[in-house]
Amino acid sequence: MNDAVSGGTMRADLSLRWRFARWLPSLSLGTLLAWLVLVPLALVLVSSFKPTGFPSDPGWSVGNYGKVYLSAEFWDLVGNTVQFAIGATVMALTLGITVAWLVERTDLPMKGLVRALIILPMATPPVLMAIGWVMLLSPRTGAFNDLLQYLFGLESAPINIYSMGGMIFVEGLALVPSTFLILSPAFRNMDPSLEEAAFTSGAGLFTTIRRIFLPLLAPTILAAAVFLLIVGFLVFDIPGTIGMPVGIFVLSSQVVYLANDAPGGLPEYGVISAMAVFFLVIVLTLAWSYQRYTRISGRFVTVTGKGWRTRMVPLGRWKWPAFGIIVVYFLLAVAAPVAILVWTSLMPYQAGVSLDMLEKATLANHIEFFSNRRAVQASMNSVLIAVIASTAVALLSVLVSWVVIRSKAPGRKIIDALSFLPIAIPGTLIGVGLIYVYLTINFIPIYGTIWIIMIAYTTNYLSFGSRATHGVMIQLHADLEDAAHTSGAGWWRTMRRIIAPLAFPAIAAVWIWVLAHCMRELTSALLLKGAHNTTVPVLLWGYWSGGEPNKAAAIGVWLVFAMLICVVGWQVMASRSRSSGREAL
Amino acid sequence: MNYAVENWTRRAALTAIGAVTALGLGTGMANADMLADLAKQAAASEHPVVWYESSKEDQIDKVLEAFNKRYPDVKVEHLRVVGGNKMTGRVIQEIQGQGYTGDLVTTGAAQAWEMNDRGLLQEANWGELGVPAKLTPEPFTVAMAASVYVLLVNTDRVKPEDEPKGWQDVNDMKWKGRMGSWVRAGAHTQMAKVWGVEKAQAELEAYMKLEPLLFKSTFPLAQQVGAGEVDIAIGFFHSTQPAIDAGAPVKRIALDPAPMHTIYTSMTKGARNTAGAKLFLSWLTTSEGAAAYESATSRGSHLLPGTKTYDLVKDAEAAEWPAEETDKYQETFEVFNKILGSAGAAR
Repeated sequence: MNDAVSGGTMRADLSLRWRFARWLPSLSLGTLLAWLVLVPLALVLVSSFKPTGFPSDPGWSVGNYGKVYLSAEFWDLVGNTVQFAIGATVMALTLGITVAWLVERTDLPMKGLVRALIILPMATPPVLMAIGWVMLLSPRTGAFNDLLQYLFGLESAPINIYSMGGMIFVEGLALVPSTFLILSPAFRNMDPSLEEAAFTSGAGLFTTIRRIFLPLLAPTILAAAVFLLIVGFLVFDIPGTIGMPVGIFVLSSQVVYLANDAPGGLPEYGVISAMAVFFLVIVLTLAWSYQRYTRISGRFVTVTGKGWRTRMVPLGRWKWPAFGIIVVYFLLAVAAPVAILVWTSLMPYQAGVSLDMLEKATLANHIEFFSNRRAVQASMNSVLIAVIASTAVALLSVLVSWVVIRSKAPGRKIIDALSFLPIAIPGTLIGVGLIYVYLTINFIPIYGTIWIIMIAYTTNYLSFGSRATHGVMIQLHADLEDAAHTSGAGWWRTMRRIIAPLAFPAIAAVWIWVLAHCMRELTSALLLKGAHNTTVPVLLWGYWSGGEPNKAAAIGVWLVFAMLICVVGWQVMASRSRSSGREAL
Repeated sequence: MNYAVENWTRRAALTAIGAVTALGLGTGMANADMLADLAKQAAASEHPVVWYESSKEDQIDKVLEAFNKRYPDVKVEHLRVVGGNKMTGRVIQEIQGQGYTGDLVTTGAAQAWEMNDRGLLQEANWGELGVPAKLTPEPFTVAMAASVYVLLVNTDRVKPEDEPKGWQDVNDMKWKGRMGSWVRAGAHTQMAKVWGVEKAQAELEAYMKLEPLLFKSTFPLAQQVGAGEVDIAIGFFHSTQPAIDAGAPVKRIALDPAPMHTIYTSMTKGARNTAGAKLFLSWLTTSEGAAAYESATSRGSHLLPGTKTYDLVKDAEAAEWPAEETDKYQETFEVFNKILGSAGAAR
């Protein structure tokens, strides 16, 4: 009897433990994500129903929704924004896929250099990049237009950057590094036996790309597309610098207007929040479509337990033309904006490229940066915030992807949605939400410190991180983990010895991407700024908004330099990892 | 200095003081004991005076340096918050969340009146602290400076004989494709007070035919004039200063009527060093404080004789909606912004 009772108790106990173990990943991760994401999101929703937009103000109303969705102006802006976002996404994907394939799967020369330099533009603050392109392609003062007019004897400037096409071109180029970082690990992890089989069966290069590469990489490409589309919906700097002068406005222009220049004397957070709900619906729809598309994840598995060595597609006579494409891309996306950034940093005031101005070149802006006592503090703050936030995002992203893709944990779809939702919340609203949270919760005294900015960044960039690691996680066959478990390895050991090394390229890519974006992020940092948590972008923006773009450019140059060091370090680590990975396999 | 010049200077100074006093603009003879008492209380406070304001930190360092020469024991901490709307939002959130905020906030009229309507501002008897009566239209705020619109001209691209002389030359079609503008119609909205809304709107619509390039802020606008991206523009006097200081070929031409936005500094109910806040704000309205602020930021008071801003607009008609007509200003501003937003070569 006693044995029966104790046996029953044991079974109940085991069942409880089993249930607990099953729920543990979702519960622990879900709680953390709920804190990071749901709290600001709830404040956004509350704000959208408040007449003034301030969550603690009295009264409730649906008036903000009426103002947004019943306005013809809003739908005009949506039209412009859709055009801009789709154009930039298509351009970034086309270039990003081409470059990632050439770098990861072909015998392209100087790949290490290409890989290292391709993401450099990411460190350039977008507003400076946009100004740089205006200085190159403006019909009045653009250096490149001048050159074309001189070379071909043209009467007027052939290119007008102030256009929808100009906006798409610059945003598309700016998004290529992110696209490359999402796609590159997936390209690298593809089992070469599939393409070998295709080649053996007589398929040509383009057939192999169309029938093998693209279908297998579809989840990652889709994840990248979704991410890029949403970024295109929210980004302001490039449309604000290139489109606004000629009256092309997008949704983000309206957000900036409502936050800064609304005539009532207050930021119209309620209306912005009601607009954010539009973004939320889009994001949820895209996330749902993504989940539906990838639900048969076995279709996309390319990394199995079998040993393999990446086979590089020989480009043959196409080798140098392909390299030429990369060179042209570099000239456009890396060399031109960075060169303009350097030029601007050496000028006493904003001026086009000319021999006359060369005589006025000065290092004063750089000297000012290094002699500014606030710059030291801001640099330390930025580095600390960036390192901690990028590490946190990388770790959280792997965990989220593992729970969503690899585990059978209940509630994993909610985890997935939670990790992707922050992308729909404009940086302004994340900042506003966090101010409320940490002003109210006095026992976590982080308002006005670097930690509140760090939390904002972690929340903000989790969407990118989780999309990037999802793509790789979906490629890993469950056999790998099963084999580890059969050999007696626990969860931690499996993660450490199997998942982490295989997902390392993606983790490193996420880390470097988040690091670069933290080093240049402005919206949240400005809102959360206190007396002692100023970051480098805030300092840079201070110069720019104070009418000293040349000093801002000098900071931009040093940001690019710092990024270069990080990228070189990343490449060294990645190449070591590749070597050790091959040895292990 | 020879005797004649010295004598003239003294006479001029006495005349100016007499005139200013007669106009009710004088320093009001602050009670020295009262100021000394405030300085003692302010220095004894465990909290510095926290000042939310939009100028660059290094500019305000110079203002605080001048203040601390007079009051070395009173600590003032400046926090740069750009954009009056965002600053007001921050004040509201901080008071709702933690109960305190910046001691002093410098904003436009719309924000100051909005904060007062919400009961967030403290009143004070500024007159007894020596603040001229004309600077305190209401006891909850002090008019400390103004952003004045001027015409900006690129001197490399516009010959002196072609330069616009004033409003009458702005809408000349020769500026089509050469004009720059802030994306907000602040100048035309303020002009509506002088011209009337109908005429101001007609002028704005004619201005749109020039297809002006629109810029998010007047600082980049001034830079673009310097770079030759646009040849002329309507911008702020103060936001052109960095470009001029750096040697850019930019010239400012005063307008008459002169549209402007008065800048107000208010003491919040969330202040933690009230004595220091009163002391510092009243000092900012003295000739010493006003000069220090104007010299650092290029924004001075159009109401205080002796400032450059006063000289800039003294012979011109001021175009600004008074604070009590803020609602009318806001309504016009919204309509005019939409009109200007529909400008641009792409439309």
